[in-house]
Amino acid sequence: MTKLEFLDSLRKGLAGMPLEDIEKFVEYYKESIEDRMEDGLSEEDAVSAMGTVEEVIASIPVENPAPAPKTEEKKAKKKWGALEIVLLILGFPLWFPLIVTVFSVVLTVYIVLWTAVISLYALPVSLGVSALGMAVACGICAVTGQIAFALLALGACLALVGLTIFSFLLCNLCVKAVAWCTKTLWKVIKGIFV
Amino acid sequence: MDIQLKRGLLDLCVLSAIQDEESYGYQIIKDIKPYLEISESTLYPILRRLEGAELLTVRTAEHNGRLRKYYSITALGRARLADFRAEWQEMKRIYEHIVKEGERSDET
Repeated sequence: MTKLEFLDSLRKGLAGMPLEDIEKFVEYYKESIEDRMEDGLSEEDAVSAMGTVEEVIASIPVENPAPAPKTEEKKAKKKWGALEIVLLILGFPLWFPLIVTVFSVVLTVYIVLWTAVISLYALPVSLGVSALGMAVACGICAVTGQIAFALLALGACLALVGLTIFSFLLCNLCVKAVAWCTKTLWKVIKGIFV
Repeated sequence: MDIQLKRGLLDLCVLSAIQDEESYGYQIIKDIKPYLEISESTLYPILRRLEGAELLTVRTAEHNGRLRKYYSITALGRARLADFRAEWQEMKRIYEHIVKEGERSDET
């Protein structure tokens, strides 16, 4: 086989690979054959020293074709055009205060919602404390023999306990509603940005 | 010899073949052949790999009216060789230990 025949069939066997890679590969074998001929080998011997075309093709590193396009794709995605960067910088006085405003509004809404929750719980807590006070008053009156007052205090205590339980359940409902509201709000905000 | 070990050693042999001055494919093969079996098809992926890892650089120059590629070692390539030489001292100690233990157990 002559040098040209060998390189030709090599080129054909590599069809499908990136052109640049094929050229590099063929150049390499051309150089190798010519170096051997320069060293005193005949063309025939120099070519056969390379092995068969099939062997040579089988030896090509597998790393070449597959990973190359992937990295390019990643780069293309990540790359920021000059225009985008310029717009980003020029637009800074506009978008920065806007983002700060949006964030502070959201933060305020959160704070207000949770403040409402906390003040709501103040109701059952104060009712509970009053009930406790009435229970203590009932005990004192019973000890001192003022039965009528003791009964009054007992009745007030029981009524307050009932109110405490009732308002506590009401507060729980409110918290659930607030949690639902914040969740929905979060979803809406996420929808705007993503 | 273990394929992985041979592959690593071939990389180092190629680097060592170009450490004093730049060289070209066929010359590298001739330099390495007395020590390790190597052919054009084994050398090619090694050169590409070393080039990719920036352990060597390639330049094309004219030679007798045709083009030839010359490979020269980079600072990174030199560092790799130095690393190997340092590592080898340790490996040699382990090797000598294993050989000695082998002789001792043969005697008994």
